[in-house]
Amino acid sequence: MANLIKTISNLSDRHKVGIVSLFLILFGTVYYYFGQIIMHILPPCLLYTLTGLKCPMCGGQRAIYQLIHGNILEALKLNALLILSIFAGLLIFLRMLYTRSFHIKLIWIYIYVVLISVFTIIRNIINL
Amino acid sequence: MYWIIGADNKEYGPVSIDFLKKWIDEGRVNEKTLVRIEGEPHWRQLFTFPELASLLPPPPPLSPPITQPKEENGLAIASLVCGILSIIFCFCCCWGIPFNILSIVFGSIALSNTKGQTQQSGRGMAIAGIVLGILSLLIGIVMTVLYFSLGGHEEIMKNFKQWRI
Repeated sequence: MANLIKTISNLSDRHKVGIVSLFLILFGTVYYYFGQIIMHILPPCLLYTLTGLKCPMCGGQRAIYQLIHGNILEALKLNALLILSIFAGLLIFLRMLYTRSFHIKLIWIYIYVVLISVFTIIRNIINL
Repeated sequence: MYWIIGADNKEYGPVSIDFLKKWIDEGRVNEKTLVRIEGEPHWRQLFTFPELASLLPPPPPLSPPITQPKEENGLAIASLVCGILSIIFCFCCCWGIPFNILSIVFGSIALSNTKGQTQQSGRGMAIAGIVLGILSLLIGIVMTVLYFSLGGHEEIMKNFKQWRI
């Protein structure tokens, strides 16, 4: 396992970007064709079935399914934060490719954690 | 009189000691240049001749060690990010599985890499990543046990039969 990590971290940035893109395309293709079946077979959100509270990822699979099929508004209704962060992540990824600096400032990670917490609280107060 | 081998691997000479001093001052000859006294067969490096070594400029004074700014370990940041993702995903069916394993692996490697190092910080982030990963696994296991004890498997079997898989 340690050797695997070492070889992965020794890969050049170009290869890492290629591998990430390949996985994203694979995931999207599988979800485009088998999304309904996957969503039906997998058990629902455990927090929601046990307590009735929505977790930050609730509606995420349906939202991604709608997004892949082109219904952006429908996807935003299901899970706004996930869809917005997918777009933000794509923009950051493109900017990283353009500037060729693959470094994330730590403060943005903490800001994102705060955003997720606020979103979770808000979506349980008003039905988001 | 001396012969030298220049940087272009050609022999130059014979030259007098004054001429060699001029070349040393100009930087054409340094301490590692091969030198031969006329009439002797062996080439030796310049600093082995005591009369020539005294012509060399004094070595530069030792500069104080440069203190590098602390650099955060990349694996520690990766561990923290994976830990946060695993907490987000742990309520779903799969316990956030790729992320909490990744966060524990990255975090432990970062901890062992930064052990006793002063140049790279990030032990705190690595520990936070490991803790978040273990916490998400625990949450997932507890909630799954609760789900099945409340009859969740019947719902899953119903869905399976409906899709005939």
